[in-house]
Amino acid sequence: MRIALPRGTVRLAAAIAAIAALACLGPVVAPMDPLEQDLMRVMEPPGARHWLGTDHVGRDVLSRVLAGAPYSLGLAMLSVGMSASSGTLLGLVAANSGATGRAVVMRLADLVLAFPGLLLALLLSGLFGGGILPMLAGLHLAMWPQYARMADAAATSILREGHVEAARLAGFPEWIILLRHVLPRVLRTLAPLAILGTGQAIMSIAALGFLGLGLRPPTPEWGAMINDLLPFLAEGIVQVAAPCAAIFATVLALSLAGRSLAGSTMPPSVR
Amino acid sequence: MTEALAVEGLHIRDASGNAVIEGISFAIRRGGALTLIGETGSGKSLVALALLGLLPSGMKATGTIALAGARPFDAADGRGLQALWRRHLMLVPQEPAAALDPIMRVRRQLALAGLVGAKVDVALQAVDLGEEDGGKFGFELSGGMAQRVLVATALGTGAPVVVADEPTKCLDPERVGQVIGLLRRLLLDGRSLFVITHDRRLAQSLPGQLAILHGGRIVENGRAEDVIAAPRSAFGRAWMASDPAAWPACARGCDRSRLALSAHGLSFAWPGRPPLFRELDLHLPRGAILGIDGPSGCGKTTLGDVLLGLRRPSAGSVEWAGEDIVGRPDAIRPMRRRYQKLHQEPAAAFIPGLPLRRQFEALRLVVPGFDASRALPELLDRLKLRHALIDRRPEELSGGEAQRMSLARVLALDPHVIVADEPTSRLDPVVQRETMALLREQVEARGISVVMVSHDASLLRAVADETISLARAPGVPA
Repeated sequence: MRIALPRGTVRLAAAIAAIAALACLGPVVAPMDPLEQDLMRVMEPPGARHWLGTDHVGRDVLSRVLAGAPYSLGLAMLSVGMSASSGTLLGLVAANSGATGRAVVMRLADLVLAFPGLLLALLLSGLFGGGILPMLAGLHLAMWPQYARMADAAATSILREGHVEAARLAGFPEWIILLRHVLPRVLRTLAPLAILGTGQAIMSIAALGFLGLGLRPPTPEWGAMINDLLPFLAEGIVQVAAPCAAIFATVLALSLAGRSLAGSTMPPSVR
Repeated sequence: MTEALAVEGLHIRDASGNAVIEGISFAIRRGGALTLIGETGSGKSLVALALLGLLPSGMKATGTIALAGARPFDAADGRGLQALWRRHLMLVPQEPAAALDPIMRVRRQLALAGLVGAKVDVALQAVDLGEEDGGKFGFELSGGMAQRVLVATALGTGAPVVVADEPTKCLDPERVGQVIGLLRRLLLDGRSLFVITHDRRLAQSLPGQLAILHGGRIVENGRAEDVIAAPRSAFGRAWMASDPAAWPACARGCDRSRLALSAHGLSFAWPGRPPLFRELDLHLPRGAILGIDGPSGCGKTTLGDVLLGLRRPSAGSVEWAGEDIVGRPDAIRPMRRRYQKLHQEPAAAFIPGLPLRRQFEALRLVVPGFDASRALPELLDRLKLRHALIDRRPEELSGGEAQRMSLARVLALDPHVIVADEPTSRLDPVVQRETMALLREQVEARGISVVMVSHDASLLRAVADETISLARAPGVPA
């Protein structure tokens, strides 16, 4: 199956590439030190020196938004990558290990899915006092089941196809069949979900940051920035809007790209 | 005017401007029939769609289409043609079960076509459906019943011209007989019939004219008996010769003393169901071709899977070269690659989207010493496949090419037994004949044994040394 990328996807891929570049280069191109306080210039409006103004302890908001990109985006991609890998692995195991194996994996997935996703991340972050590791673990725990379910469904239907039977008849070992016949197409099915999931993960990380359970201050994470600046909304609306806009634009771009990719790889009935 | 339908100079171009149909003309007289035959992809169905004004967007038709009692239409005037439906023109679509709404009762479906009151019962009776069938939902109907409902619709509307597009696609021989009866019923009623098919038997059983479409033109058009008895075009001759009954008989000595495959007292039942087959014995000497026939649902494919060790029989034994393999993976493993299957779906053995060359190269993992770059050219030559095809993806091959490519793949595994599950049922008659001839040639040259599963008894008579018939399993609807 060749994927014909519509022009919209190409444009959105460019947008994502730009966001990714921002994530890598943001801290480098940030005009000032995102942590440097200047208590003489708190809540300054946007101007020539501070394009997006300063926050309540006089830090440059533009620099903080740029420097925050690797935290929000990078951690989101990391958590999605971890969940998608372990979900795919468990999904393949479920699809290939008979009724009992599938029941174990899928009931485990059901159990996790019974909790609202953010609740698990909240719980772990709360228990272990915030920080990167509990947050990643929580997000991972919350997100793997959807990938496992989808991978299981896709793999189950692929395993029934003629080429899998032909490969078994030819004597190919089972792991080669999974690797060559099943995995590539399962990944293609999961790609749109992973892109959409990255957008959701950015929101979850921001939400945890906003609640003070994510990254610890003074790390310039977007959600935590909103939390910090919210009491000063009346004095500087631009300063609060900046991280909000960063989250909004990134999630929107990722969602549109995910939908567009789903549209190009799935039959029209599923779109 | 005595013509019910007259088509003049019909051209059809696809979206990129290539001519698919290059100026065909034909006429059907009132109460007459015209059967249009041709290969898959020859554009037969496009002719039907053009008549109905239903060409896919991007395709363009020119020419005129005239129906008795209506003014002639420009073939490009899709809306004008669509306005003729029901009163002048009716379609009996392909795949009847898919053409009915599964959650609508038959009576309601007929009402949508304008049939109400006493007309409904008359129409149902005409196709041997009872009054109670009118209250059934679409999903409750078997394929044969759905087809009868569609024919009843055509009968009830009184449209003088009925178009039937591949009415026997994927049907058992006995169901084909029923469809022929239904189509004759329409003729008896005074309708004119335009039938599109690549089914040999259907084409031979319908009265009237027979036209052959090849390369976008009608290469032959005449009385059906005349065309069948003495086709004048080269394609017409090849098509008639593709009838298995006309194939040269196979005369081969096979070594009866050495069995490649045998089964004793074989039974198989799905849990909680009556057995599909019971106490079956079969012997396949090396180099022999064993036919297995029977209607669909009788367990032919399952029997093939049991013989290949893919499914465990409920009782009995299967022996590969004298060794019992039932429930013994250790006995299967060393011989696994020697017992192969040719699938009904031609491209099924290949991973979709992956170039064929890479799929052949992977065979070195299971065939010791297999070198694709050395083995492939010879293999492709023997199966008369162009070398360039190997760099395509499986879905980019035609049905005939894909089935030969699958055969090449199976031969590369150096098999002793091939279970061929309806290997040519999805192919056109001419391609079927070529493929079968190649299969036989290869099998004879290498002393391979074949189990040929098919519902086409005439095909098995032509190729098999011996044939086993499975009866219809209990509880499977006709």
